[in-house]
Amino acid sequence: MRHGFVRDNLPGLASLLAPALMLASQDSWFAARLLFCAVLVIGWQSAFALMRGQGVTAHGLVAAALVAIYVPASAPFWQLAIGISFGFVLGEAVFGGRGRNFVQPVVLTLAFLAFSFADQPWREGASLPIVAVLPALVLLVGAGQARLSVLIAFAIAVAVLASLISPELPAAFFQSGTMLLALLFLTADPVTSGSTTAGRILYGLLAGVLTALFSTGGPAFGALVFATLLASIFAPLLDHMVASVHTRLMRRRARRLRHV
Amino acid sequence: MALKQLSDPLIDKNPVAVHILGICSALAVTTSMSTALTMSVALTVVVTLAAGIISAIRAHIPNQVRIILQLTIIATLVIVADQMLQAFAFEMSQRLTVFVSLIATNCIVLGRTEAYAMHNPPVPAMLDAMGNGFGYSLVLMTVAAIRELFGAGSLFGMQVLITQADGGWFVPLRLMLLAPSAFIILGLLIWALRAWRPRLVEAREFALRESRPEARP
Repeated sequence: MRHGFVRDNLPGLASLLAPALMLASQDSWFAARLLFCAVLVIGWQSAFALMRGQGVTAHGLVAAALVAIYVPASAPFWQLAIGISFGFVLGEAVFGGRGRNFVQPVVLTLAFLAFSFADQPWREGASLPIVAVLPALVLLVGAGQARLSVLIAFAIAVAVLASLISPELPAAFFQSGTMLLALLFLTADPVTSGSTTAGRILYGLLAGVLTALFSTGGPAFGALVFATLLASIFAPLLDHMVASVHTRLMRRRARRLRHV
Repeated sequence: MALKQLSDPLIDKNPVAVHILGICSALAVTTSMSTALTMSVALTVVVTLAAGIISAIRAHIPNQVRIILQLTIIATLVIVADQMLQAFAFEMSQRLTVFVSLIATNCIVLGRTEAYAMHNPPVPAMLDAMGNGFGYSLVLMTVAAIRELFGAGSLFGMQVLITQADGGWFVPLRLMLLAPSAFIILGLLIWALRAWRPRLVEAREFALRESRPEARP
């Protein structure tokens, strides 16, 4: 695999610029929070990269900015430190770094914080106007860093289920950029969303169904985070199922051709 | 020799951390140290007595029905332990719910009787079983200590860290009282154990492909 700052990290960083600036203008502590998250994430990634003799990429900056954007403004820094250490060490570093993890470390961080500390509104997410997130949609889908198949499958699942159980869910995606940003960066992450096209479509459907189900009992952002966590745990199984169905079809085809 | 049977299962052949047996009860009873201690004592007593009895009659056990016979003896001892708990520590038995009765299905007990007590004289068999009971207890107490301390700020029910609700500084980690935390702590324990004793690491089933540009200095 080829590495490069422009190809790998620039789209992510550029698409987070607008949301970060918008939050920084509302909340004077945002810059400090971003710096704190970045130091911690890069610190853990460098420590493990040093131990394994790997290189350090700028991807940690994107992940740190995502954490800083999604956590509530009132969150104390020591809770962030515990959450980030948990999410990035146990969600990514122990598996061998970015690309070998099977859960999104930002999702794991947010889920850990929501489960552990009840005193902060972790499930609400930040409030961003949808305009600030549109560059992310163009850049990430254009650069192939948000899987289009996942997005389409997710949209179909939410649209079908929303009419049945949670009619207010689609509106949440159009009112607030937070949901769209989380969908692009967390749910459609190319590492954790499966590695076959059919597997990715199934993953997107599963994530959409779970989001619709969970949003009946809580804020839509929390539902999306937990749905992504659960769906990404199932992604390797979905890939395995797709691969075995494919092998069986190919074998049957080979047998048929032999008898022709 | 006798000491080795007792001390080996503590670290190097630990039933939970090395053989990955008895995980179910290790998850369920470790939210507080007192339940973990009761469970550890009950299991150690049951496995030691079961190993002694089975080892004493091992020459008379027909090979075809040996598992049924072992299970009958183990289940009898478990019922005795459960009744003793209900008689003398009713509250504790209420908190442990079904998990004392489930010692009968604990893999450690059947594993020791089938693998060791069936082939060895009573004294070494009981020492081996007791060592495994202690190994199980060691892991259980460690996990329970971490979970209770960080989940509730207490040890054996005594408040060590004063929580914010009572005017202190400590904010309990709610996750520690949920079942997944036991998995995570157990995983970290196994990681630490294997880092300390690299001999315990088994060979890789799948080799990771390291491409050259990735392994930059």
